[in-house]
Order: sequence, then C-alpha cells, then structure tokens
Amino acid sequence: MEAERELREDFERFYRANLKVVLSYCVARTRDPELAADLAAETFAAALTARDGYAPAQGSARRWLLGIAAHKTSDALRRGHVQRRAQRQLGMAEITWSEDDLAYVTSIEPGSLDLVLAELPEDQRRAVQAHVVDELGYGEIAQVTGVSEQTVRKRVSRGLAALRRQLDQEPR
Amino acid sequence: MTHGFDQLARELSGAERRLEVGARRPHTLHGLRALVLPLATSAVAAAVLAVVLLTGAGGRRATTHLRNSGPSSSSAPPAAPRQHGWMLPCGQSVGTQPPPRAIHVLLGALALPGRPDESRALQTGRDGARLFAKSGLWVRSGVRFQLIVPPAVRERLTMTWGNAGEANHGNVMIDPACRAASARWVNFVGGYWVRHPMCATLIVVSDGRRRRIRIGIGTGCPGQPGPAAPSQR
Repeated sequence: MEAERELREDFERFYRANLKVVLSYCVARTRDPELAADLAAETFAAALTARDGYAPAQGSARRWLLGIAAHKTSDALRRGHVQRRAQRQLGMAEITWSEDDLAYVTSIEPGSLDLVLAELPEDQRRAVQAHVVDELGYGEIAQVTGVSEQTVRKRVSRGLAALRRQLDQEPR
Repeated sequence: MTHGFDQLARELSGAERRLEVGARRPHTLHGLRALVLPLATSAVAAAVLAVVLLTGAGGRRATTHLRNSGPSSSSAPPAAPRQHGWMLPCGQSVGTQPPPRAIHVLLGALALPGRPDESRALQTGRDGARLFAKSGLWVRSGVRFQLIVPPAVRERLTMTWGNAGEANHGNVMIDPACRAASARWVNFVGGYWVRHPMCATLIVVSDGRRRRIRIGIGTGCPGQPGPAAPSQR
C-alpha cells in the first residue's frame, strides 16, 4: 500500500499526505489550534521514531498514525500541555506557530469523518453516538430506544467495527 | 503552505536523515497546503474516532478510554508562571460546563467569547459612566494560566472575574489546584468595563507560552460582526 511505503521510505510525503487529517482530528478533540499544531508535530515525530515497529496487521498506516495522535491528545488533555518527548529524542527544534499557522488549522473544514459516521446505518450511528459521545450505558440506551440491551450492544459493536474498517481504507 | 508546517516538514526530514533509516533523500516540500488530504472531523466524530483508535482489535494497545481521560492526579503541574497577578478563587466558579463548540480553547487552558474569528462582539450595557460587557470564562480543570490586560490599555479597559469586583482588573491568575472533581472545565462569570466600545487586546499566558488575543467589546474587531443587539454607548 502506498501509505505504508511512504511511511518507511519517504516520511516527508507521508507527512504531507496525512498532516491535515491529524490536525483536523487534534483540533476537533482539543478545540485549540495551537495545542493541535503542537500535537501534530509530536505525533509525526513519534511516528518517525516508531515506524520500524509498524506492522500492516495493525491496520492501515493512517489508522496507526491516528492511534498515536489519539494517545498524544488524551495525554495532552490530561496534562494541559503536549510533552515533546519524541521531538526532543529526534533533536527537533521547537516550532513557534504564527497566526497564519493557527488560521490554517482553524480553516480546516469539518467533513469527511462526519461523512464516515454518516455512512453508518442510522441505528448503529445513533447507538455509537449515544454510547461513545453521550456516554450513556447500554441499559439507558435500550430504555430510550425501546430495544433490548443486547441489541444496543450489537449495534455499538458493529458500528465501531465498521468505522475501523473505513479507517483502514486508503486516505481519500 | 504556512511557514510553521513547512518548518515542521524540514525538521522531520532532518530527523529522518539523522536516523539514517530511509534510503532515499526526502524531497523539498512545496505546496503543502494544496497537497494535504481534504479530510477533517467534527468534535463528535473525533470523540467516536478516539474510541475506535484507542480500543478494539487490530489497533494499538488500548490504554486509555475517552470517558476516563479526565485530569489525572499523577500529572505534574506546569511550571510556575513568572508574573504575579490576582488569584481567582476557585470557590467563585459557577459551574463545570465545557465551552460552546464555536469557541476555541486557548493554549489548552481557557476559552473566552468575543474573539473576532469565532463569534460576534460582546454586547455592552451602561454602568454609570462606563460600559460593561458581561462574559463567561471557561477554564480547563487543573491548569494554571494568567489573563492579562496590557498595561497600555488599562486606562481604557478593566475586567472582573468571580466576585471580586474590580480588584482583579489587570492580571488574573488561576492555579492548578482549581480542578473539578469529575469535570474537565470550571466556569466563571465576569466581564469587561470600557469607556467606549473597543476591540480590546488581552494576553493569555499558560505553561510558559503567551498568546495575544482580541475581544470585540461593544463593537466588532476588523472583520467581526458587531454585537447581536445594539450596544449602549
């Protein structure tokens, strides 16, 4: 696959091809353009240091990269700042983001992942949203929707599995 | 392409060369902005994606779940700020709601309405000889920050947060001890007094970083719509 080859042989191209998806993910979770930019820098640095450990069996390179971004983002939200561990390890200079950089981050339009979510069957989409985003328990969702708890579990499980499959597809 | 992300590309390329992993030398990066993927996400999709990425078979090891990703007691607090200011008492908070989706978080620490790139100017009302614009302040639980009115502007602008009246007019601090037990945000109410409607500049400091921001008070900053209703002047 092209992304896997780029990850191993042409990291700059891999960066170019995936910068926007990483930025959009980070800014959507943090809603802080500067923090998102810092997270993107650390995510790519961590991916560079860890790329030899990537195996296609783990899913696509893009999903692997977003997994790193997800962990870095969760860590940054707990700490309130981004740890520059990988960047320091690589001897990278710290980047001061300009207003233009931050405007670029905020200019990223929401869309594709919303569309991915929208492509799920409605019952699965609602179940995933209720369980993951609204943090309702399976029993609560079952009460509200009038189906069994077992059915709700199945919808959430299938919805998340479908999202994983979509993330494993080549970047669009 | 913006300069910062171009610089990041160069830093990564340099790091790759130093690692001597790639057989080919990276190309010079041009036209990044035109080449990056047209893929983005909303906060909801990102939240779902976080769970997809952090859990389940086939992904990286699942060590964190979104709903457990609140402030950690083991986190090291950020370095102490150098400047001194009025410490906003945590007990004067009024809630633990997250900021509205339209308002971006600054430096991972706080959110303020009225910035020109994301909302209309704040509405003012007459308060004696001055105008007052009521506002909210959303603070990330457990962070330290300062909100500063630049000295050059203090003749024309003062602010208040919590119940302190004008005691905290120029430099407001909050420390990491101000954290909600089970929420990520702490809310305060307050606002700004101005002599005349203005596009005000404030400085936010957190974790050793500074950001200069603008707030439309009673009138829009350049490119910003004015208040939703006419302000008193």
